[in-house]
Amino acid sequence: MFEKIFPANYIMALSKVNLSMLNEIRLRVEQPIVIMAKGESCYLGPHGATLDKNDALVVGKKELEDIVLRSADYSMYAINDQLIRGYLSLEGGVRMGICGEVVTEQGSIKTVKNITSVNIRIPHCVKNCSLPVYPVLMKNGCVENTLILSSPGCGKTTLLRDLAMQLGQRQPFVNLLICDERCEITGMSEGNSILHIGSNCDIIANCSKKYAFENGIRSMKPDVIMTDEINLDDDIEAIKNALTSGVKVIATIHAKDIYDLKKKEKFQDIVKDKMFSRYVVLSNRNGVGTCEGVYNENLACIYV
Amino acid sequence: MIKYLILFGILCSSTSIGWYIRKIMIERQAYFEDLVKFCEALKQNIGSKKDKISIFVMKYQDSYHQAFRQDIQSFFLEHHSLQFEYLQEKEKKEIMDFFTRLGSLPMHEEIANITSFELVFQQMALSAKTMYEKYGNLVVKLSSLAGAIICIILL
Repeated sequence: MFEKIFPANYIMALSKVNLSMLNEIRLRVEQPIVIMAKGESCYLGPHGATLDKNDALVVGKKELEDIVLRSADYSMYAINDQLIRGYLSLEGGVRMGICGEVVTEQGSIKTVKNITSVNIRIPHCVKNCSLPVYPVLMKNGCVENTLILSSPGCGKTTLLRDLAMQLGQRQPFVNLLICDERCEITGMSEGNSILHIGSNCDIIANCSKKYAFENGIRSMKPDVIMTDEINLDDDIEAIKNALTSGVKVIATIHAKDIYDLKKKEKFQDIVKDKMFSRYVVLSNRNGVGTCEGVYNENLACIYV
Repeated sequence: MIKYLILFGILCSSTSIGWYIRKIMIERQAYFEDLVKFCEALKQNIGSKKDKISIFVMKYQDSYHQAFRQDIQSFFLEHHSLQFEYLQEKEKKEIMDFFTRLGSLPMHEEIANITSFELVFQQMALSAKTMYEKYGNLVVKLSSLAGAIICIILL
């Protein structure tokens, strides 16, 4: 995929980096390129990873614009809806976060211009990473309503993806609906899911959770719905609706820990209404995906 | 006998030059008509399915004549320049300009951009069509006549 979006000198430099370990590439206009591998950051120089800032490759404004244009496959009109939400979904579940000048017209966001920063996040399938917590998330053969929480980049989506895989293997007749707003869970690209998920999964991609939940429940009769990064009031409303419809929900959220979640005003209902029976807290204390504990609906720790 | 064969060869050659020029006219007309058709189809697609350009080209390339098909394949799929050799410099520049700018704008602006280029291409298609209607058959007749005159002179 990098061959498609980066200029030749970047490709050359990246060829000297272990791509299977690469988590992030950060590009900022007129600044050195920063890469993150296995949770550690360094610069990208012409000869691969370097800690010397002076040796790092520096991104030009035009270069950055070209990278975004190439990432959009020279079709900005096709990705403008994503662009105004600050990201682009690339092949293989790779997500490109974008910062720039937001263009508004009559109060609504029209597009983003003069792009200044790009953060490319590369997903990795970590097979069986959910196995330690899997039994705790099951009750009487059914998966519990589960919320996975952590700071960004601690492996929430990876865990979610593997849970889908494990559910598919263990309960092949459970209908699992994946609401993949940013195509990160499934790596959906041109109708094909690239990352490994279960065989019993139906995927609604590239749309709001509200739409996916409402239409998914009505049309696909799912037993379990999985979704990533709940954030808006609408998302919480959609989950509430799913729970009252008897559908189990597994979701992720940005929060450092349970206390952080409780502190956030708009998420207080989640805890107060006991919407979820299991909370899985992740961190990168001992590497990405460290499980800090699993809590029940009363926020009592039931697994460390 | 050889003399007649040579005369016949001259007549055939001059006629085929006429046919060749006529064929170029037909190809140019088809090329510009395809270009207009491409703009129209792309606008519709952008307004509904929003396929990326490379996907659009892959899906619909077979609905165009060979010369235009080769050019869109070459430009959008292989990232090479235009292959069609019977374009004037000005036309080539306009088409390159269109292809290069394509896809760099949000939906409504992109459709407006395509529409403005489409008007230019419609003019090109019209003038190619007029050219063919005026001279397409005439050029074959003239070249045959020229061949015949040469033959008569040589006789």
